[in-house]
Amino acid sequence: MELQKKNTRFLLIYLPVILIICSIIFYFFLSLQINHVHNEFLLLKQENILNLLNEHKREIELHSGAKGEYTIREIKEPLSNKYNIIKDTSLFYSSENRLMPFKMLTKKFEHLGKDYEITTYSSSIETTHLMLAVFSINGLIYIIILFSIIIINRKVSEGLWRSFYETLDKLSIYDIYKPLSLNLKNETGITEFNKLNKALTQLVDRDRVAFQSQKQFVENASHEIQTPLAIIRSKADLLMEQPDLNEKTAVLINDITDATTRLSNLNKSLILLAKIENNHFLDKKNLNLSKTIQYCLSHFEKLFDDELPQITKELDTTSFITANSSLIETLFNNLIRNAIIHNSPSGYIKIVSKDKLFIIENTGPELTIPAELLFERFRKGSNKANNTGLGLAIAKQICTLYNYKISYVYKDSIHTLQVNF
Amino acid sequence: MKLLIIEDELSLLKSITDFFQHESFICDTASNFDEGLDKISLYNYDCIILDIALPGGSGLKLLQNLRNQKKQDGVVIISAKNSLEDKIAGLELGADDYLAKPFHLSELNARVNALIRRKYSDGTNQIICGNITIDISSKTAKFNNNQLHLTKNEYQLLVFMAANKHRVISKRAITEHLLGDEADNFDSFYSVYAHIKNLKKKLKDAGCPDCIKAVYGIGYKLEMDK
Repeated sequence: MELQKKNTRFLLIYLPVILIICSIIFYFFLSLQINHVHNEFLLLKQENILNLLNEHKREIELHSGAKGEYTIREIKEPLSNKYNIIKDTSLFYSSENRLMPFKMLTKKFEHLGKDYEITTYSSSIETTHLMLAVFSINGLIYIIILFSIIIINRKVSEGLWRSFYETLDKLSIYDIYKPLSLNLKNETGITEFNKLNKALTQLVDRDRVAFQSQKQFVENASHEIQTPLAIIRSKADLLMEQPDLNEKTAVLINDITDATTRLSNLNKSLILLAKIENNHFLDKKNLNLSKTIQYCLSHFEKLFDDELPQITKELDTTSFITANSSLIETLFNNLIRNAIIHNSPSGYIKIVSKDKLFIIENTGPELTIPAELLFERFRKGSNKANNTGLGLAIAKQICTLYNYKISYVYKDSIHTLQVNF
Repeated sequence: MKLLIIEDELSLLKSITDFFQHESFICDTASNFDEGLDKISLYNYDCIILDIALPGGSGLKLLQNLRNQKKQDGVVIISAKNSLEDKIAGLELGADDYLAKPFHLSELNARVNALIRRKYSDGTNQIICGNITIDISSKTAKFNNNQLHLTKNEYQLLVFMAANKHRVISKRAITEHLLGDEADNFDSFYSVYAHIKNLKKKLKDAGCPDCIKAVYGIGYKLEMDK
């Protein structure tokens, strides 16, 4: 998830929770305060009435008092009423035709030797309205705060992270195979990003140096090995022409030439592997699968003449892939060569290509190595002299490079290799 | 014919020199950049065999220098780097051919011969080998006046053998000549046997005495009476 979205999501989850908690606390304190106000008000009213009664020093005319203001009652027998506690009550107003909420406070007092109780009332409908109004405004303010925080947060982080995204963009298009350097800003205005850019620049510089020396090593290794091989081969060629050549020497020379060829092929294969691993094959083309397969097969036909196993083909002419042409030829060559070399006498090969799929089947004896080791380097199922043990490793490497899936199945004396492009 | 061989590996240099002296070339050698530069500036050669990695500088620079002097000597590059980029760079600088190490001397000989023929042929463009006449431009061959009906491979084989007449050519060299890189990793010389057999038969049918001799199972030799 994008940083911004994640940030907003967190704010949207946690801010409302905090705001709701704040509202609850606010409600609690506001209620306390309102109760306090009622208490003061009811006590004041009570005191005023009692003061008035004390001034006049006469019998209290017992009446119901004033509705919604106070009532006084003579107590004949002791009552279980709780005194001096604010209680909720409601009074019926016929003009409004409904019950109205009130707070009331009752107190016991003595007047001219008689026991009375006085109850003062205070309408709580206004305070309820006030609470509602305050809460609505409060809610509105909270929503405004919530969105302001989110918007401000977005704006601020856009500015803050801008240099980070610039770095990210540059990194994503950076290609070690191209001579362009990374070119990150040294001064972004934010210490962490300065450090990040510096660390990245150093990392890329080190990689570039390592990559160059690796490339150089591949080339040097090739040069160093091919040159002595060229010397051996040239000497063997000259030996063949000695006038006193006899059969015994000829066989020896033949063995030397074969070994040299084998070493040279091994060397070429290793260099090819290293080059694929180091992604040296960059240029890509749109290739017709069936044409490429035909082209590779024609070489083998030329090479083996009538000695080829019987080959049947089912090639779909409309499949295309985008890849390096020499690598794809190497892939097919290696798979076809593998099917030819490891075939049984009078066996057959079947090649199928359709959509993004290449299947090659061949008859042949069962593997002498576990199937999962088939694509490992130098894992040979046979000890044929000119088999480098790298053919399928190279095929696998090419598939890895292009994210193709290569798989092997052996069933009913038939080996099947499949490549999904 | 005058040949200059520029190669820093003295042992390989000696092999090449020995081989071409046998072919009655006049061979001159250089084993580093400066020596090479001196020789190409002072003398003219029919063909220069040039290694790329030389002590003192790149062989490609020597080639550039040569072409800057407007000299038209034929150049065959021999390089340990068998990469397409190097090949293209060499050919763009004006090399005539490119051969990757390790190569067979017979292959190098065939390339040098072909180059010299291309550069200095007096319009005929023919290889005459005893009574066999090969016409390079029409890709046909005759024995005396009998046309030989050869396949592409047989024709290539005959040209290769004619370029290396009286020399032993290994089976491997023939396979590589005919198939190039495709010859890799094969233990089989099926095609060589088949092509040689067919070529021998066609030559015999045209009245040519048996001139292709097998040499102890290591290769073949084209023997032609003068």
